[in-house]
Amino acid sequence: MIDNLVLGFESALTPENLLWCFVGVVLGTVIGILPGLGSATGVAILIPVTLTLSPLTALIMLAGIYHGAQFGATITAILIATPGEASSVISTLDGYQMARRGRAGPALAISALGAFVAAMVSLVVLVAVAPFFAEIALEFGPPEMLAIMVLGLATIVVFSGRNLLLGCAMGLFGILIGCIGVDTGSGVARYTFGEVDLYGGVPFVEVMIGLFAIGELLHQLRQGAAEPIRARFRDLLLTREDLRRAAAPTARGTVVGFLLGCLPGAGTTLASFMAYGAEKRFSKNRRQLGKGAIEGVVAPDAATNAASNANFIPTLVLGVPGGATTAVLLGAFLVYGIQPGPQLFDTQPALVWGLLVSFFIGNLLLLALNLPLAPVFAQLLRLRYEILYPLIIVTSLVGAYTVNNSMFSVFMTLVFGLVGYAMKRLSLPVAPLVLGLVIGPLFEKSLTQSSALAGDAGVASLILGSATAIVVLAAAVLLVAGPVLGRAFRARTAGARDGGPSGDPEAESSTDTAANDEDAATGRTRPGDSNER
Amino acid sequence: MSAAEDRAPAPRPGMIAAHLFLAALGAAFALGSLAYDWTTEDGTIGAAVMPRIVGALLAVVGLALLRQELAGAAPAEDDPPQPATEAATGPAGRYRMPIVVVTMWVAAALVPVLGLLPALVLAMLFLLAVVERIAPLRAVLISGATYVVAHLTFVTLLGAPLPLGLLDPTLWSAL
Repeated sequence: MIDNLVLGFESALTPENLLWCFVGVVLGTVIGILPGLGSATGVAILIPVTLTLSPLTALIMLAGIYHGAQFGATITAILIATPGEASSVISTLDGYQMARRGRAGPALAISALGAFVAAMVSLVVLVAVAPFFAEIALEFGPPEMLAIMVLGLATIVVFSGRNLLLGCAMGLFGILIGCIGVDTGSGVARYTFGEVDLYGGVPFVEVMIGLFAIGELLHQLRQGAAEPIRARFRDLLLTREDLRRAAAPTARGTVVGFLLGCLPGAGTTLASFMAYGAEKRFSKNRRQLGKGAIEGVVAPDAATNAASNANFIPTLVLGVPGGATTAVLLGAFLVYGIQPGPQLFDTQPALVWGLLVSFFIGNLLLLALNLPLAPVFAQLLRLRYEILYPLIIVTSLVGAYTVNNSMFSVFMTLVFGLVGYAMKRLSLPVAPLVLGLVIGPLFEKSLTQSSALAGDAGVASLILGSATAIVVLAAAVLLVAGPVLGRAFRARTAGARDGGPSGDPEAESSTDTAANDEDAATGRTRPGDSNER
Repeated sequence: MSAAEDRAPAPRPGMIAAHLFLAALGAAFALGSLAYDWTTEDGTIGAAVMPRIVGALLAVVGLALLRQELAGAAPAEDDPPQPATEAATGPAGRYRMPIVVVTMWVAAALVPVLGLLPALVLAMLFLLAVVERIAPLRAVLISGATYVVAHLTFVTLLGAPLPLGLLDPTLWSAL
């Protein structure tokens, strides 16, 4: 292990590799900031530029873009509610709220810091246990993946807020949107109405830009934009309380992100959503999530970075991409004549360990760049909204176009901009829709594969034959049933404390009173109180 | 407890419309799935399974939400709508959002003629100078700078083939 690391440092710490690593992370940050141009697109676009470089140098630069894009995407998600990447969608929920409350600097700084810590921890684990994790991931078949997707869908419940039915409806809406396009199992084109552009499905990034960037923009225009930040420099710095609150979510996000990142095809988006779901479940400040809680910023970003590193486990060891960007990187490996797989660690040790060590260097460079610049980025919000929103329109629509080089993408963005506005206007939750859209097609794919594998025996028998799938499904059931059981337990406890019988309506009443008290404390209104209808 | 507090919240027209839309959408997907097969020839699940089940579920959940809304029993929202500010509800602010929506669609429609960047930057100039009443020279400078930066970033640096409209040299060379 030590010998391998020494070899890695020798390979990565050459002036040329350091320079291209720096170029990669800077370019990646810029690409991440541009809406629609995610890490996958950025890496794909820049592969031809790297063809004159040595394979290790080229891969170091491309990996730098991958890591840099994660940081950049979070910056716009926090500052203008415009996620540069699907994985940073969740950062808009609390990050943007923090920014609007004059805490853009701390949001950016804690995001960079949490992501850095997660990256470092996950890299150490990656280096140490890559072969072991690859073996586990190798054993994940369709039934296990199906169980994972069920767990993902169960998190919709966590995202549903007070109205479970509404959250479920939006999740189902997302799954249905995901049904549009050619069905992967049968090859049948569904709900495309003969429109060739829809054969590949409703484009995800464009939907995100529409829902979040254009929808938010229209909402702000109708609402009247909030006052721009007029904060002193020291107001933009992290406090000790911020750091204290961020510690546990960073740890949780890192664990969730790393474990999900190890799964082939899981990508980083699922990790960020699951980390947010975990915060909804375990955070002491879970009631503040969605309203500008620091936990809602740091946990998903930590998970994203941990997952982006863990994605290299299936990519390097199995030759199976961990996500969209590692799929593009896998293509780059093949362009340079390198075949990733179990033999790679033996046949190309300098390349593999040099690349892994460059991840440490790249993340250090990103922290050095992003942490001191967080307050500078935060100053973006001082720009008058009258000037900012036309700029957002131009960058969002050009960004949407560049995803597929198609005007169809632009029109999709505009359509979902209106949908996003309507959802904002009616306070319909966006997160379950996004989760449904992400997980729906993956769920269907796993279901189809499981169905093919099970044959006449049925999918259920296949799942019951897998201990891993049963454990994951049990976790999903707990996720859904946990809150209900918890409420019943609390009601019983409250009833017993008040001397009333368990399950007594009094207990329910006391719970409602507590909720009312909390609403009063947080200044929330209930339907019927608001003038806005 | 006063009578006012006892009274259930009045149904909200916007929410009724949204729930009706969701129920109708679910029903449409479920009915539309009848055009596809439930199973494939080799016995695996077909293209109809997901949309039919999920569509039917959405229809049911949408109707349940509608019933909840009409009964005034919808749980409190986590993030209730806030009243618009005075700036947004004033005579100028009231039409701002619809004008921006129309401007974006018009700009998108003009792309085949003007090209993507010129169409969008022209829309930006219109929004700055006409809708936001920013001084013309300043609006032109901001729009011009945006054009240059966007061109340098997307076209020069990233090599994105943005549509050029009638300015496309290949169009003229074909004549």
